[in-house]
Amino acid sequence: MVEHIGNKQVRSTRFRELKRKEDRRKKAERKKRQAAAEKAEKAGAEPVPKPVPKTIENTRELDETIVAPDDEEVAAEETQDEFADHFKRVRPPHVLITTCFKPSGIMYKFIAELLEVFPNATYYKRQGFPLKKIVQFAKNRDFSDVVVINEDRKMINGMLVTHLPEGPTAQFRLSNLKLSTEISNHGRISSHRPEVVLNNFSTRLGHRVGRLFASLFHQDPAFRGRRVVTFHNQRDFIFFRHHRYIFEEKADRRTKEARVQARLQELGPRFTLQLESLQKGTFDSKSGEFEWLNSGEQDTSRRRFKL
Amino acid sequence: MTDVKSSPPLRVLVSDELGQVKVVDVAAQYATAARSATWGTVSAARAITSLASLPGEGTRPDALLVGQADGEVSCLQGLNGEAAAPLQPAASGSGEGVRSVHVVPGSGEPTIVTVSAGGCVRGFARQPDDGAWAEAWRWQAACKEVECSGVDPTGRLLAVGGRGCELRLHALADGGVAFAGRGGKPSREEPAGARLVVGTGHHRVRLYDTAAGRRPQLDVGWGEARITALASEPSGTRCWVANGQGQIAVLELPSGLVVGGIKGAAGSVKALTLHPTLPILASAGLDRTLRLHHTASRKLLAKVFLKSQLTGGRSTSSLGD
Repeated sequence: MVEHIGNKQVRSTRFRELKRKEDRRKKAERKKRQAAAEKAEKAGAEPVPKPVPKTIENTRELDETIVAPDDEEVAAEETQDEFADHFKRVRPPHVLITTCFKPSGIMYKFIAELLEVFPNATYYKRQGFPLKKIVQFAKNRDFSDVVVINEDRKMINGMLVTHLPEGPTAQFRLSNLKLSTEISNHGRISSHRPEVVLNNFSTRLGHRVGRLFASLFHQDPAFRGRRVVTFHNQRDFIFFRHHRYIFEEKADRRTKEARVQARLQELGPRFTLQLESLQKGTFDSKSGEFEWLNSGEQDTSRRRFKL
Repeated sequence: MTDVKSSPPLRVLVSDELGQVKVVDVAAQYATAARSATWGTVSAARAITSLASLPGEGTRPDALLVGQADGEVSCLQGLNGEAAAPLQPAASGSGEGVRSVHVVPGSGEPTIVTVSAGGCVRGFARQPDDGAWAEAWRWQAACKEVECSGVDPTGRLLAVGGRGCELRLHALADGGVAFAGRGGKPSREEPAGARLVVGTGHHRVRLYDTAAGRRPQLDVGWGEARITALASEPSGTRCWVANGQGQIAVLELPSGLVVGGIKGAAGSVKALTLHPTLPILASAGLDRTLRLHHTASRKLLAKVFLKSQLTGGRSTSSLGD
């Protein structure tokens, strides 16, 4: 509005005037809204609805691949896919965890925590074996999943999850890792089977990734343990969090009435995942076929999400 | 070439990994494209590996042959998808899936040729008395893990390629090897015999000439992933190629140069099909979407999300026919 004014002093004065005017207008509007709300409250009428702010999530572009909750076709497919045995409780999870070729100190700390997160996991040293051989080894010993953690220059930066025996294989970028010990006031992980929360895996691809995560944990959690593992998807970033919850009856500070309160204690670790590729079948980066691959071609809008 | 603006309505049949055929009807001028029917029941064991259309004759309607992973080849009516009698005997006893199904036109009745995953090639002929299809001959191809096969336009030769074996051209009648390809450096000579394009699992596209020695005439690398689908244009000068990372390109054949590409596929492209008369390329694959592109302008004409992972496609002539 004032960019065209060449003189800086005139420009800034003019800008200040405009700003003040705008602030006054906003204040008047706010006052008006508050007055209307008070009036409605006194009259006992319906409260005036609050304006909903626009966010990237609630202005998400329509996506035909979003699965409706009552989609029978997808439900029928999911009764026969690679994870069906896990969800029918035929095959309990058994996870093999291994690392990249030359892991460093941080990797061992992270793996030690992952072994506590997954209720039935075994760590094997990589020992220079190619991944295809490790997958074969795990298949022969009836493991249900292989998880490979990658690091680069002592920073953990990748996670590969393969479901056995027929895939799929998902490659994630891993960032913002915080170990339990780095989280202040963290709790100690118990050996109960955790509950799993999968948030916002809404598209067909998201469903598949969500089912892959779910297959790492048992279908029957030990609710006594009050342990919960969360995979929260927001704008295609998957946030991993691990908590213990408690419901407590507490007296309210003001009214002195007893009421139930929920509290969370973080157990850790916490990290963020981004899907890089989903490959059909077990790991085969050269001649494998991808169900989805991040090529940048699909990134045409910041309001379009894949998961 | 026909102008796309005056395009007639189209019907595209797409097969998926759950043993179903999905029928997509495209309105005239690509105004709308949507699924109109789904044929078959959901069964992951009966994943469809191959589709072939059997033209009708006389009172018999068009039919669709469906090769399935459990070894059965079923026959569906082309208009409504009602099941007709399957080909007998099925290969399911041997525990081998069907890899591809071909309809070879003959002087009288056509022959149906099926190739199993283990390399067993079988021919079926129609019985004169009841019209059912029965096995007429069979032979074993020199390939234990067949990935792909094709019949030449004359209907005399069958090309078979697979894991761990080079291209072989077999005579359909007795299975004798008519041509055995080799890998390695190309040796370019003047085109003389029948030409054949082959894609490998190691991102290479080869062009063989049956009359010019066993080595390929052309051997070009394209992309970084397994070549999953090929479609040669009727003129023979261009070939559409797709790979396991969802890239689609068109190669100019004598030179092997990439002259254009198509964007959009997010996952492996399992099938590329060119319409017999219109300049339309249909692609379908693991990203569960069917896309129609114009072959000259390479513009997207229609796109339909079909929910399951797709394995093959077949475009049929306009609905009125």
